[in-house]
Amino acid sequence: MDEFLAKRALPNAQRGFGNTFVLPRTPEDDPALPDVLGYYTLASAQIDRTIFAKVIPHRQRHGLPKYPLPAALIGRLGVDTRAQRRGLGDLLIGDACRRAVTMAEHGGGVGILVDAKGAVAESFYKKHGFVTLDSAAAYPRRMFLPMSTARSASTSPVE
Amino acid sequence: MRLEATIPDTRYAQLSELADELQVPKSTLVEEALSVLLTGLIEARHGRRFAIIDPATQRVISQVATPLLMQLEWATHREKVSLSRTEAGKLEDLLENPPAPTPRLRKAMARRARTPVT
Repeated sequence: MDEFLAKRALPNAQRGFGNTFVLPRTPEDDPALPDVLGYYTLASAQIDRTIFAKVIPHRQRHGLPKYPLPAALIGRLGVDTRAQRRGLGDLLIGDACRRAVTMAEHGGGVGILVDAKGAVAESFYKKHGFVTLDSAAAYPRRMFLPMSTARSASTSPVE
Repeated sequence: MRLEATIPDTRYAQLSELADELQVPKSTLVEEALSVLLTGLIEARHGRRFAIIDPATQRVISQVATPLLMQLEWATHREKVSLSRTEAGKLEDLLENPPAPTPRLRKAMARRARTPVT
């Protein structure tokens, strides 16, 4: 996490590869914790439409746009090991999804994509409703959450 | 020209404090803030970023991000993602039949106590 923030976050932002959002330690937090408790990156993506032509029967394609599908992409999301087990991962994923919904309202977006880094991360995203697209693909832990699901979560009351 | 706007109480308190500190009318602050935002928006339209630079090293310290600036960046930069046939089929199914949000996602999206920053 430290290496990514120090070496990659800002250059990536400058090159337009997405923004990094960090969760800083506040005076209310344990002062022994690191300055940055967690972070995530959010970028906009376009999903190539050509593959859909092969997958979806022609008669069902009339309502689908021909241009690439816009989506949000969570590149990385992490919590410092010293700050784990405090619900900060939930806070970060919630914030990322809220921002993705806001962006989609203005720039369009069919859903949120993420490439989970391992089984633990995959399980984390699964609990938040992300679905693994194809465990046999080149990115076996590529997951997707429809924007309508995220939108619904942002408007429905918490039980 | 007179402008009327609704802003959060906390923002108004910041504005009043700054006007007192700098000994300038609030209108001056609003005008300059708008000027800065417009500059950022014009640059973002050209695909450039609005950043804070350390004059000593010329290195970028942080990037300025507002919802409007992010919307423009969102529209100008998109990473290309290609899917396999299986992935595309699954994604299509999910779009056709979106699942209900899980309780954990609902709870996570409702949390607003702390907001990560750029």
